[in-house]
Amino acid sequence: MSTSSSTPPNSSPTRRVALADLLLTVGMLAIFVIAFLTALDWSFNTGVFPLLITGLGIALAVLHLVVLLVRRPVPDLHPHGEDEEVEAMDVEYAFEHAGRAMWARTLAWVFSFFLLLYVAGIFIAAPVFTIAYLRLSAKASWLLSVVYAVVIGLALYASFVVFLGLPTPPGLFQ
Amino acid sequence: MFDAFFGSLVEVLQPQTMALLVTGVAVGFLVGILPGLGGPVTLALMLPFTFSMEPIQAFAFLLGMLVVTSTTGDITSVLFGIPGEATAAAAALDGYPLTRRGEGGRALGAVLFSSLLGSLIGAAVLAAAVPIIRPVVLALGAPEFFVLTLLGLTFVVALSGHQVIKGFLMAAAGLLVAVVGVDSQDGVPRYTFDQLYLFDGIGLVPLVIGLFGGAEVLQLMLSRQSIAGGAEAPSKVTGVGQGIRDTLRNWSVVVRSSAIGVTVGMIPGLGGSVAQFIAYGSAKQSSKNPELFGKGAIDGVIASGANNNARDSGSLIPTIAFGIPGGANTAVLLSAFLIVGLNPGPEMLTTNVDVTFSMVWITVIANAIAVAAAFLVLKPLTRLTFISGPLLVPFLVLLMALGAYSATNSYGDILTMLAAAAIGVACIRWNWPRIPFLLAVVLGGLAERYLFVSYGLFGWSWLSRPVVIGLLVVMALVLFAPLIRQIRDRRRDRSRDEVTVP
Repeated sequence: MSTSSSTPPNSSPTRRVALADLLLTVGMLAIFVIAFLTALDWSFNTGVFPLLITGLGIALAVLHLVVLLVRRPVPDLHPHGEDEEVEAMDVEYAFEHAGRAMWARTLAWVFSFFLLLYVAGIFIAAPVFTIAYLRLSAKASWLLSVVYAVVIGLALYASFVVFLGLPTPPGLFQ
Repeated sequence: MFDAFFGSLVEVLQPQTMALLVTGVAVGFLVGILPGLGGPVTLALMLPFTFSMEPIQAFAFLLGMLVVTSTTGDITSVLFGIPGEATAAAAALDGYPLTRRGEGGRALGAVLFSSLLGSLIGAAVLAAAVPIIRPVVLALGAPEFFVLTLLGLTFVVALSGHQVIKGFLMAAAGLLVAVVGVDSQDGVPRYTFDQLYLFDGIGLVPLVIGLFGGAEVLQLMLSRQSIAGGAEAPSKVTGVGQGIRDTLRNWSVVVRSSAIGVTVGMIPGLGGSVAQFIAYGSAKQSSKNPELFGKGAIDGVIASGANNNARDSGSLIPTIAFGIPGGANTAVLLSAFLIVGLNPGPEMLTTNVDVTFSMVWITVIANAIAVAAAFLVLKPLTRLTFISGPLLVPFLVLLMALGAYSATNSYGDILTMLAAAAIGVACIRWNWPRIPFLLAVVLGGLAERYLFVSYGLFGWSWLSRPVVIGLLVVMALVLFAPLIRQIRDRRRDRSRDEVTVP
């Protein structure tokens, strides 16, 4: 099984990880600073805990930035930990090796489902998404797709509405 | 104490509770076998089902499911060399070679029976721990619990990975998320941006579903492959009885591996991945045939099976007594405590001790059912591993949407879930730890309450209490020991380089 540890030292993925680390740390630093300044306006009771947390967050983010900028580039042979072998079935492997087109397609499916859910509600979004995804992405037959949609729809309806008595997401016009 | 112990068995044996336990076992059975799904993910997706349940019923369902994933996760390790759970990896080292030699049934008999024995030993330790830990927990006050919360976070960050600063940053971010909402002291909205949805704080259920479920569903969508990949199912599974006899013959391996599992399970942050390999290494060291390890040693299989299930009970001890979960599974389980209205700590050892004891019985009964079922319907269940990953996607996406929405019946829950999913995906993609974030969100409210009570009762003098100082020292040791070791290793490597390169 191929592993991510086959990535050569100092290759572009390692640098991308460092750049991503840098951007994420700067983003977190900005959030902690804004949260800290906001908490300064609150009373002692309300603000003490947020001030402690955000103060700690700012210190840690600055420390991490310094480490990222000053540290000598070290070959990252084990980006997921020494004792973790990243295998083809692992989530890390899938995320690292999926191409941009695949990412775009996958995120488009997710976005479409939640947009449809918001506009049309669960009882339209569920069968439409299930059949469309199974037919177009999983290349399943019409029969399997329709039967799957019906069975899953009934199972979730029975669990959430009948058994648990919970409301389900309505559409925009409901 | 004895009344509560046996009274909790009666409560677990109630028809409705048993029905939920069996349902949980069935779900855990499938999840354990399907390598694409993990225990924490399924636990997260099942949290909404517990809203209307009594505490013991909720734990019968959730804990029953969780402990069984450890047992059945070994099945695919043995048959295909693909661990159903990350914690079942060691079982593949010797289980799969045995299967390739035509002794798959023997390996399965050994791993499943040793799992059952491991769960019994773990449950016994959990039951025995209650009267021992109770006086300790009752002697502690709010200041000690506040520092214990910080210590738990420190353990999880320092011991679980190599990126300590990232871990603490994620913990700080989690604590920040935990303070969103109306402040319980003065009623002032904090970080709510005038959004009514945020006044009650960030919902735990959509957050947990997104953080764990989002990434797993995306993985299934991205990888688009059959879960068992190109592996072939063995044509016959025989020799199960031989495996059971092997387990009984190697009882000392079972006991030692279970003891390692319970002990490591009690230490937050070390987790099952570490425990299984310590037990495996110990079994190899004490084996008469260490050269067989990795090639099909039955005692290696037994060590892995027994260790996994004992570890689950071990990790419950700090979760129940101090509210400090050992890893991802118990961190999500801790969310369930709050959902059903339980506070970990003294309550769980006094007024709610029946719930604690019920967990002992649930662990034992769930594993007994799972192992019996595994022996009965093993062959057809292994075919589930050949289900194509994308076929599960629509079901999981719908379950995530409905589960998240059920928290407060608001689209804000779905947005929270999507945001948490984005955080979870980013964490995995760029190697930032998720567990400290979740743990900090779960523990943030408790930590703030303990801090206020401590300050209200003692001012800042609580910092000079002996137990608080002792815990802070332990925290410093946990925090700085890896750093000191790292610096020492680097110096050693540098001096070695200087010697080799003139």
